[in-house]
This record gives sequence, C-alpha cells and structure tokens, in this order.
Amino acid sequence: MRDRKITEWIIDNIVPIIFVLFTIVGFSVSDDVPLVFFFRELSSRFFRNIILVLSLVIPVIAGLGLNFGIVIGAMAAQAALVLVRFFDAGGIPGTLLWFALSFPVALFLGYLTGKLFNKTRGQEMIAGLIVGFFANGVYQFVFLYCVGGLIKVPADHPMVKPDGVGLRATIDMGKPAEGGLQYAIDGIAKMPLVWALLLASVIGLVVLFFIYRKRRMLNRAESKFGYYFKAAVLLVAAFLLAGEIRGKTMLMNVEIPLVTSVIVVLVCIMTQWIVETKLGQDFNSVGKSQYISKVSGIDVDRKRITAVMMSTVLAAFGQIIYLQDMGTFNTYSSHEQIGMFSVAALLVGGASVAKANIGHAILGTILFNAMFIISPEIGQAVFGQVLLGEYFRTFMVYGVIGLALGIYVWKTNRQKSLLIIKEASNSVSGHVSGNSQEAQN
Amino acid sequence: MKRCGFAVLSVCFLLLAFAFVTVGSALVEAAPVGKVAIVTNTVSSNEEEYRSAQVAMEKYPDRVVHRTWPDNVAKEQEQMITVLQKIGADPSIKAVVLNQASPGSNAAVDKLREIRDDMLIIYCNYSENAPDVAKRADIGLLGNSMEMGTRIAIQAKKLGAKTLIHYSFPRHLSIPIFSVRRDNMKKKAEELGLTFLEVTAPDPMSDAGVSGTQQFIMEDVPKKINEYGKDTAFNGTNCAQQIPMIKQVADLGGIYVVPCCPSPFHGFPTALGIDASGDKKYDVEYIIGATREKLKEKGVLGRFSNLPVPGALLLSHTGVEYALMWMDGKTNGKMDDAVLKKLMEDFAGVQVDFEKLEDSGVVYDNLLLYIMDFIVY
Repeated sequence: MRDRKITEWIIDNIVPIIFVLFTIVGFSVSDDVPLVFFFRELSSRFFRNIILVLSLVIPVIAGLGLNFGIVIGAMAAQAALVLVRFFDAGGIPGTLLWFALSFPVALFLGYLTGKLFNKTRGQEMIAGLIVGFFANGVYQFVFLYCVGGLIKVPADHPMVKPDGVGLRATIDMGKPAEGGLQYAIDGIAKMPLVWALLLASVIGLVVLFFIYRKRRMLNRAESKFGYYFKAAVLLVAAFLLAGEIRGKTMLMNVEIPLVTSVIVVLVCIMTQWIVETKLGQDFNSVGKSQYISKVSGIDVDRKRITAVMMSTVLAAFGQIIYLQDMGTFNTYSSHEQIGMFSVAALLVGGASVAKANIGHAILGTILFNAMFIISPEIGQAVFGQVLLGEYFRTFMVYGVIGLALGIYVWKTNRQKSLLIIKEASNSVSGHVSGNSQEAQN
Repeated sequence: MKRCGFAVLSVCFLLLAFAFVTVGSALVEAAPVGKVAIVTNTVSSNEEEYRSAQVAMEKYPDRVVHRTWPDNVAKEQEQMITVLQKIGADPSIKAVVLNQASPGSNAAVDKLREIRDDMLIIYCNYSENAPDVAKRADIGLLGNSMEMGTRIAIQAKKLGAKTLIHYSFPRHLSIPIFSVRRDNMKKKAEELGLTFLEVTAPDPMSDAGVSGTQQFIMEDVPKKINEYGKDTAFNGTNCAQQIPMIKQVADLGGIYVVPCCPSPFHGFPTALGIDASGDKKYDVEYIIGATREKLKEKGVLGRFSNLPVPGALLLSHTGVEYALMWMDGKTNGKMDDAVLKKLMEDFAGVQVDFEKLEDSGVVYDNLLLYIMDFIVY
C-alpha cells in the first residue's frame, strides 16, 4: 500500500522528476559551468517569465486548457509600449502609464478571445494557437503599415522606419540613466539571491508545516511522501545557502530584483485568493463539468470569458515585466514564443491540461529555464560539437511539450482503464453475491 | 513511514551535495593569454558563418572559442542572452565577435556589459538600428546593403534583365538596411527602365519555417519566368531563399545577380550539386571555377554574378584577427580604422570600398560599411 502510494506520486510528478534529474546529470557531464553563471541566468529568466506562466493557471482551472492565446495579452502590452515610447515616457511614471494603457487593451482583447473560445468549445487550445497567429497578422498590419501609412508619424522619429511607414524591427527602450524604461521595475531595489532563497526556504518550510497539519486535521488521505520530499529539499537548500552566506562565496554577487519579487508574490497570492473565492469555485465547477454548472445556475459562458480576460491581462503585465528587463524591444518577434514557452514551463512543473496551480508554475519556470541553460552544455559535452549541442537543446525544449501531453494522455487512459476494471470487478462481485444470495434464499 | 522519510532525506542530501560538489562555486582559471569568442548562426539557413568560425578555430585552436546562437534567433532572444552570459563568465575570453549580430544582440550585449565591461565587442552583419548598435558595439562591420541595392539594379541590367524580382517579407523589410536597399534598388531599376516587382515570401522564422520558404521559392520562380520571360533577374533578402532560387533560375535560364549574404559559397554549391567538402570547403578559386562549369553545362554562363569573396569568411577573419591584435596591444585603441581596412583588403585580395555608416544625418565612426565589385560567372 505504501509502495503503491510512492509509485502513484512518482507517476503524477514524472515530468518534473525527469527535469530535475536532467539538470543534475547536466551539471555532472558538462565542463566548467560556473554556479554563479547558472544562478544568475536562472534567477533573471525566472523573474522575466514567471508572471507569464502564472497567467496560464486560471484558464486551466476554468476548463479552457492551456491558453496559447496569452500571446494576445503580450501584444496588448507591446502596443501600449509603442505609445509610451513614441512620446518618450520613461522611468516609473512611464512604466505606470504602460500598465495603465495595457490594461484596457488586454481586457478588450481577452473578451474577444473568450467569445471565440465559447464558440470553439472543446478545441480552445488549438483556437488559442490559431488566434495568436491571426492576431500577429493584424499586429503586423497595424505597426508595419497603418502607423505611417494611415496614421501619419514623423519619419525622423527613432522608432519609425526611414521611409516613414511602419515601425523599425527593434526599438531601444532607453537606459535607466537616460530615463528610459529598461529596468524601470527591476532597478528600483535589489537583494542578494542567496538571502532571498534562504528566506523562501524558511517560509516554505513553515507554510508546508501548516498545510500538512491542516490536511492531517481534516483527515485527508494522501501520501506523506510528497511532504517529506519537499521538506527534505527545503532543509538541504537552507543548509547549503547558509553555508554560501557564511563562506561569502561568489554566489553572494548574484542579485534579484526586489520589487519584481514582491509583484510575483502578490500575483501568486491574488491567484490563490481568486481560486478560493466564489468566482474561483465557479471556475472550478465550470472546469469540471459545464453541464452541471449550467444546471446549478452558473453562467458558464460568462465565467469562461472572465477567466480568459484575467489571463490576458496578467499576460500583458507579465510581458511588461519581461520587456523592461530585456531593454530592447523586438517589435515583431518579442511576443512570438511567449505562448509556447510559458505552456511548456507549466507542463514541466507537473501541470496538465486539466490541473494547474501556482506551485506548478513556479517549479516549471525554474526547471524549464534550467534546462535552457544547461542543455547546450550537455549537448556539447556529449557530442563534442557546439552545433549538435544547440540542436540537442532545441530538441529537448520542444520535445518537452510532446512528452508532457503524451504522459497526460497516458495517465488519463490508465485511469479510465483502471476505472473500467474496477467497475467490471464490482459488477462481477455484485452478480456473484446476488447469485449466492439467491442460492441461500 | 519514519524510515522512509529518513531515507528520502538522505537520498536528497546526497544528490544535491553531489551536484554542488561536482560544480562548486569556483570560477574558471584564467588562461595565460586572452581568447576571442566567435558567435555564429547555426547551419539551418546559411552555413558560411559557422564554417568561418571553424576556420578561425583551426588556425588558432588555443585562442578561439566558438559558440552558436539559438537555431531560431527571432523567437529565442533570452537564449541569446544566456549564450553571451556563459562567454562572459569565462575571464580568459577578452573579445567577442558576433557573426551575424542578429536582432536580439543588443539586449544580449547589454547584459554582457553588466558583468564584463572590459571586453571588445565586434558586430558583423548586424541588422538592428544603427544608433542602438553604435552604443553597444565597439566595432560594427556590415556589407553596404544600401549601396548594394543600387548596384543590383545596375548589374541586373548589365546581365540582360528586363524585369527585376525582389523577394522579402515584413520582418526583414522592417529592418532599415533591407528596406533602404529595396528602395534604392527600385529607384535605380525604374531609372534604367527595368520592371521592378516586389514579392512577399514566407518568413522562415514564422510558422511556415525554412521548408515553407523554400517550397514557395521553388514554386514561384518558374511562375515568374513563365510570366515575364527568361530575362528576369531574381534576388531576395533571406538566406533560406537562395538555394532554391539559384537552382530554379539556373534550370530555367533566368538571371541571378547576387546572394543576400554575398559569397561564392552561399547557396551555389548546394543548389548546383558541387562537392565543397574536405579540403575544398574554403577554396574560393575552386568554387568559382566549379560554379562556372556547372552554369556552362546548364547554358546560363554570363547570366549569374556574385561578389568574389565570401562575406562571412571575410568578416570572421577580420574580426578574429583584429581582436587578437587588440589583445596583444597591436592596435591603436578599440577602433583602429587603418588596421581593419588592411586586414580586410589583405584577405579579400581585391579592392574594397569603405565608408562610415550614416543614419538620419548622423555619421557613426565605429560602424564601417564595405562593398566590392561583382564577378560574372
């Protein structure tokens, strides 16, 4: 019984386990991968992408699957950025203006996307993928032709092409010293990564303890193995981090943006709070069964649209965080892989088409980006060639989505077959006991 | 259950400790002399840049390090940052040559400068805005695409063209060097009485991919020759277009002026079935001769032209040699025009015309444009 619970836990978390092992093996086989480089890259990629990944959680709960349409939210943020940079706004006021302009655009586009998803019930993921391509075409039409062609703009503006029609392919967001938008949020305050991780480990242990105690009090029958494992990881991490601080190693030079971290924490809290409100319960109910929800009096279509609007707005804000860290805005390609990579990160964290939470988003973002950092090194170490290393990385990154979706389908089919076997054995035992009852009578 | 928990704790501790002990927090020890890192594209669209880095590594095995950009640079800009961060983490590397400096290079270099402001950074064949590149790169080397637009129209006329077809797509035409090239080409073509036609091809970085782009060119070139006749000259802005374009134009008797990244190696060996492997792979004279023979077999000699020197090899050679000279104290500061020009002309073996890039009335001293005369096959 105990072994079966461990097996179940491993099967449920097989994708993140594979990626943790991948990272560990990667470090072992690669040559000279400095820890400082790894953690600096991982932390900066984490904070750039986490809100985009978090924006996918609510649509999964509401039964819309993986929302590839967050690309539209990203485009909304970029459209707002064009306006903000056109008028040369920067710094914190420029960033606040950026948020303020993105919000209504993302809300409106999210509403339209939600309406589309209601018309493509059951095929929301592919609809999201295709509407992203369509929106990309509209976006290019607006910024490659309408700006300059229909809406006259000065040809000598640094954002506009020399012929006066269309925006340039890359737009500089302006350095912090020049009052630009680069690092407008990240640059406000920083703290050493090691201290932040130590704090997170300690808080994580405390939270884990309270969750465990609450579930025990509610007599929830679930595997304790998961709790032990998580507690073990946090304890070991805290121990090692304390060692790094005490030893004043090079890792102390890696810093994280404090304000961005606070925003991430607030988004996590807000997402969790929404899930626990009536609205979140409605999302959950709609996600489990639209028919039962409708019969219970829930306006299913409206709830689905609300979920998509929330996701799109969060994606827009996530893209703002992403772009202000990048510092250079690729007008026609910055948004393109947002959907694919965010979905992949969520799946790597252990989420599925039907189940996702904040923990999946955080773990997945860490593991997925760790893979991005370590896989070229693995490829180069294994194949001895920098080119094959890059192709190996590409294969791993895009293969993960197929792997996670394949495992999801396998687990779903496995559960269905177990249910069929169980129902069959119940009906057989019911028939036998019925016969023996008859015999006795 | 307590024993299980203890076992799990022990395994986790051992695994993590093993990983961290294996890696440690130590930096790579600095080599006694500086190294230069050359970052190129992969071979998916054009392999010349990759091969040029291999040549540099063969010549200086202890001083040149080769890395590649992500395969799909347009969509993986974060990975570009990671590539340069890894280079910056090695204190023995003192210079970086980016060939090509694809869009996203500015963001990656910004992050590199945050940890290594001592490095010499050379951009080759950049496509981001000149003012932004000038702020990041110590040196920018670029083929004079703008002037090339005018020269393509003149060369097409010389080769006997009556129509000039230009293939591109929105992402490329949003880059000023390509849009100004197109504008200059169109203006000159109209002056010379050529019919100028712009055709939108699929973007290889879009959902169509490289294969979609190639399929389009394979299908469209015959249609255009049917419609406008054999005296139709073809050119395009993207590397993925060149192989199918050269093949179809050669088979159908059209005119081809120059590849997007001018070089005897760009597109011709693959399109015409020339074996450019082994000791032939960097032999410019051999490739030009073999190309002439193949075109003669197809009856299109005199209807194809090119630049005589591989652009990617020229720039990689110049960038790497200059970086090594700078590290060894043989240049006058980070930007030494005279040394750069000499390196380029010594390698090219032909006259090379240079000028400083001008954008919106501003001349950028660290951005150098070069151009050469055509050869006709």
